Amino acid sequence: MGRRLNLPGTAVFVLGLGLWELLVRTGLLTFRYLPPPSDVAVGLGELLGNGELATALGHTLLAAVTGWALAGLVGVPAGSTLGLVRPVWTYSMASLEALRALPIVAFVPVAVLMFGFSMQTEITVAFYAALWPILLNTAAGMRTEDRLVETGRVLRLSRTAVLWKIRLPAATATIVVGLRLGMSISLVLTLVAEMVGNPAGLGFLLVEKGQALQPGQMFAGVFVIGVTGIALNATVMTLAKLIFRGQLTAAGET
Amino acid sequence: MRGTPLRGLLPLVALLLLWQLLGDPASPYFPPPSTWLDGITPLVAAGTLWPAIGDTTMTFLLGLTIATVVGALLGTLVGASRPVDRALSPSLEFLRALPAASLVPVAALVLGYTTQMKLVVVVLPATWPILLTCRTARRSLSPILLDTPRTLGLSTWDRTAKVLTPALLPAVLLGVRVAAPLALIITLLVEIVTRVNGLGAALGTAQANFLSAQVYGLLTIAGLLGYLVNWTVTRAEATVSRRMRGTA
Repeated sequence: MGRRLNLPGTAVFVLGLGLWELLVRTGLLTFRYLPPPSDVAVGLGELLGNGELATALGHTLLAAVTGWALAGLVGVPAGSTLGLVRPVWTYSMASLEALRALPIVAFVPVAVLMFGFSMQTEITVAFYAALWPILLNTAAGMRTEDRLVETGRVLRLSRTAVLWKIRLPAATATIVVGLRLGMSISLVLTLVAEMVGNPAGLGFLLVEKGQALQPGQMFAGVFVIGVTGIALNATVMTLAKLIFRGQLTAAGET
Repeated sequence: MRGTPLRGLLPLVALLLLWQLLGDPASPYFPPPSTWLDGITPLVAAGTLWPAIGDTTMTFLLGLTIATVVGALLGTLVGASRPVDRALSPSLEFLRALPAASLVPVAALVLGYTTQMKLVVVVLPATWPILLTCRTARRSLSPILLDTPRTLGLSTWDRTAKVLTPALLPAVLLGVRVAAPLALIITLLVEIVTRVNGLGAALGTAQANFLSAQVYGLLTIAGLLGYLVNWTVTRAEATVSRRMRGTA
């Protein structure tokens, strides 16, 4: 990751946009509903102007972040128990792996069935999706580092001390990875839930603009979703760095 | 994590048993497992279940194959040259950040509700893991490995077939291992959202008609499919990477 501005990279990105504009304008690309980038920019302006975008974005963010936060609250303790208490791992890991093999999107219809077209559906789906990476990464993080634990035993640390001073710091980097994965997946599943379930938020905005044959506004929605994903990931990363600076540096995740 | 003890399946079995014993067969939300089979029977009788599974499998396999070829080729090209890598990475990063779900309505609008549309939506996200692992592997290849066959005067074709391909194959397969479950999920996702053929479409329709037993039955089938895919790619990747290490 270079901190400096990647000049050729930016140039290619802009050139790509220019080429797209040119191909659509000259009619070389003849899809009926493929807008040139300038139309997308206009669409973005319209969505910003009438406040539709802010409402939809707020709704989606609220659902995704709530589901993710709940998943963190449940997943980190549950994952720690899985990783630290051997019998719990032995007697439940295979069940968890069997459940995890179920494709998450297939649960969206089930959630819609249970909670109807509501925000609850979105949060449940986001929670379920984010729970897996958080749970499994926490469990994996807590299970490793045997040599450090041995060191702790040699130093005659109490069990609590081993947990707080060795296991948890050693697992932090893995847990943060789980939280990041969970964040991006909960955003995706929130969008899906909005497309097939609750008619609100950015997911529904895309479907709605598609049906209203407003490709400019629709592509603008996609662009906003992409930026939102990047921003959320960066936020989780920045927060994690602020809170766990020491541990992350030690794990080489600077 | 290898060697998960089978005893771990106990809670799941217990849960399903309890569900079966205590569940109300008429429950609109939690129909007990024994009703799931009855839920699917109409689909089997109407002859729509097998074509649906076939459709999903076809889209998945075709999408994954295209993604593997495109990802491996692009990854090798991008990884071979620093300037190209630098020039393309911001665009690739942005494309990668687009959640697959947001592509579904777009593809449906631009390409229509067709099988090609399904393929495009599956191929795009499934390409990234393969492209990225392949790029990293190509970048970290030892220059000696590339210079030796050149010194020996091997043709470009032989260099590619005998040196480059075996060297990159484990990385490609590692990418496929990540991409395969993703491709299956996206296939189901497209089908659920657009209702164009396949298992996902059946699931969506069942949910819209409040056939909860059928929803759970189809969910189980989707799960079995997912399990099969995971098992196959993990096995294949392990076998190939073991053999590659053996010859190295």
